[in-house]
Amino acid sequence: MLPWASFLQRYRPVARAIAETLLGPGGDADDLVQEAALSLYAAWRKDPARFETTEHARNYYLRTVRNLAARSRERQRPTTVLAEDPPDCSTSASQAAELEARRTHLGRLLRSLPHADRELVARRFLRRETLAQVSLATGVPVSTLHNRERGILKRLREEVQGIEALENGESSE
Amino acid sequence: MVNPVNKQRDMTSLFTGELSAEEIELLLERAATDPEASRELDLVCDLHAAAESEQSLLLDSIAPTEGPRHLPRRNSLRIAAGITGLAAAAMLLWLGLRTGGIQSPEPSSETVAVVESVPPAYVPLELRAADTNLAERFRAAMEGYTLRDWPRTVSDLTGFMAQSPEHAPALFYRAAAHEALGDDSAAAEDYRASAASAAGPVSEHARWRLAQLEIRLGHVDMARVLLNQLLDSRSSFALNAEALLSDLDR
Repeated sequence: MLPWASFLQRYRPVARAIAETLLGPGGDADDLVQEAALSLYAAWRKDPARFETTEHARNYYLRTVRNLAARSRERQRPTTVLAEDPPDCSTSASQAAELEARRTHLGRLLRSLPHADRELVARRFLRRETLAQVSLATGVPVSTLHNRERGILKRLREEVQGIEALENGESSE
Repeated sequence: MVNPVNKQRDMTSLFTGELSAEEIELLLERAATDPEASRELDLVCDLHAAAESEQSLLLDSIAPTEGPRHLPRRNSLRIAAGITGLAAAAMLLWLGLRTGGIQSPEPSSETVAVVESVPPAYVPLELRAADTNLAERFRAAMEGYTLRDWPRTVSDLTGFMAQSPEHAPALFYRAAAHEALGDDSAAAEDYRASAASAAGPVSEHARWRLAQLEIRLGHVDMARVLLNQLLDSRSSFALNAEALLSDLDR
C-alpha cells in the first residue's frame, strides 16, 4: 500500500517546482501536479506490483509531471476524471512518525548550521534562488557557493544516515 | 560546446527553476537509475520540508541586499607575482580576435550595472615570487596602487616594465589603473596583453575584467567570446562567466 499522505507531502513540493519551471509564468502548476497524482493513483490501482517501492512511485510521479507539462505546452494535456473514491490519504502512525522524525531531525540540523550556510539554504530552498542569484546578492563566488552547498548536503546526508543506522540497529535489537 | 557547469547540476536545482526541460529529464533519469542520485533527491525533498518548517529562523539569516549588485571578485591574484612571461604568439592570436570588427548591440543599463567597476584588490604581503628582486621591484611599483593613486601607478608600473615588459601582473594592474582613470582604450590593451600571458590566474582574471570592460563599452559580442573562453577553459572564473552570460541572455 502506497503511503499516499506522506508520499505527497514529501514529493509534492519538488513536483510543483518542476511543473512551475516547465510551464513558466501563468501556468497552472497546482492543477498539473494534481493531475500527475491522479495518474499515479490510477496506475497504482491498475498494477500495484509496479510500485514495489516508494522510489518507483516517486519516479513515475515526477516523470508524469514532466510529461504533462510538455503536453500542456502543446495544449494537448488531457484532464483525468476520478470516477471512484479518492485514495485513502490517512497516514499510519508509523509513517507519520517516520516523516515527522526525519523533518524534525533535519530541522534541528538546519538550526545548528553556521549563519552563512543557513542563509544559503534559505535562499535556495525557500526563495528558490539560483546560485548565480545568490552570488549576485551576497558577493560570494558561484563556485564557492556550489562547493558550500555540496558540503552542506553531504554533512546532512551523513548525519541522517547515521541516525537511521542507529534507529535500525536499535529496532533490530 | 560542452558547458562544464551543466555537469554540476544537482538535485537542489529542481527547486530553483533554473533547469531546462532536458536538464530536468537528465536529473530524473539519474534519480531513477543511480541509487546515489535517488538518495540525493530524497534528501533535498526532506530538506525542503525541514526548511519550510524552520523558515522563520532561516529567512532571518538572509541579510538585506540593498545597493548596487556586484559580481563576486576573486582573490586569485594572491599568487600573481609568481606568474611571469608573455606568450607573443598567443598575444598575436588574441589581438587577432579584436580585428574582426564585430558589431555589438548596446548593453542594457541593467547589464552594465552588474559588471565590476572597482579596481581589483592587491594584497602585497601574500605575493610570493621565485625571483625575490623582481618581486621587490614589483611591490615597490605597486605602492601607488595600494594608495589608489592611479596616475602614479601607471607611471611606476610603466617604469617597472621597462625592465620586465612581459610581466603579466604589472600589465594587469596597470590596466586596472588605466580603467580607474577612465582610459578604457589603454586599459583594454593592457588587459589583453595580460590575458595573453601564460595560462594562470592572472590571465584568467584579465580576461574576466576585459569581458566586463567590453560590456561597458557596448561590445557585448566581444564580451561573450571572452566569457565563453573562460567557460570552455574550465578556468576558476568559469562559473562567474556563466553567471554573467546568463545575465546577458536575459
